[in-house]
Amino acid sequence: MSFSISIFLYIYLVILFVYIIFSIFNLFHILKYSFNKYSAWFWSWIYIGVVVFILLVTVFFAWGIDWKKEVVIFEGGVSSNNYFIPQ
Amino acid sequence: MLSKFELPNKRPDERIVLTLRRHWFVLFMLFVKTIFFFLLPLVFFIVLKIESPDLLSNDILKPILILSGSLYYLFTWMLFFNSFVDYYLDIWIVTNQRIINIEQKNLFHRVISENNLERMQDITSDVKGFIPTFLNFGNIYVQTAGTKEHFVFKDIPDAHEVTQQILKLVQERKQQVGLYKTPQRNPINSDNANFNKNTFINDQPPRY
Repeated sequence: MSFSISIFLYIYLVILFVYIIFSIFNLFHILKYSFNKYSAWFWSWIYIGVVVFILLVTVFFAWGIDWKKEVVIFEGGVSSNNYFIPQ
Repeated sequence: MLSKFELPNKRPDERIVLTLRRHWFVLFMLFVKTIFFFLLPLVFFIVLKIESPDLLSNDILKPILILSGSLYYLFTWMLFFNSFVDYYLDIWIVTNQRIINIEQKNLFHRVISENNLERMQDITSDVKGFIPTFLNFGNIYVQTAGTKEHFVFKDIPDAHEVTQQILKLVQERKQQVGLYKTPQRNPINSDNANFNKNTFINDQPPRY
């Protein structure tokens, strides 16, 4: 059995998409219902800033990974090779 | 958008007397929990690096660890922000005419209720536990007339003092609308030394 490790990336991107939708709901709530709009914008930018920071750190750590690599799982364990060439 | 100085459905001659939020300790505990959850994967990472360094350079485990770690931090941060929004948007406003209770229960559940001060009957403050007693914060329960529902002001700083202020406002409001009269001494039960016990109101003995 073999698969490309980019499947992890696809799953991550799908979850990230859901995450961004929920984040927009959060920001919408704080901006709509806050009594002090300046304070609400301040907290919203803090939130966005931390999210961007986490994503940048993720990209930094994931930079060297070969996402197109095909991984072959044998019965006795897990192995990998680099022969996978995208069509 | 609501403004700090504009009340929803503001009435003539209405002024804000108290604007109450939860005690800062609630927010502090939220920070502590979030920092704990932020540090947890770092401890896991350090232990993993010491115990089995080869595992981190594995072709499959490395991307899984990075992506799941990223999702973990993103969702921890979102849950923290969610709780912060819950704290930030919970507000209790006491004016000289009414009490407005605005509570964000969760992301899609917001409750706004208000009631006139003259309808308030029973106001109780409840400071429970070591830390609330030490830092002086607690819940305030406001019972309204005619309904079983009541307002709960959660984790309000200086709850006893706030209760007294609300009681004073309720009395003032009842006097304004004519529902409250200053109690007069009953001459029958008076301890006035000059009061003659044989003298009754309207010269009539009390009927039991």
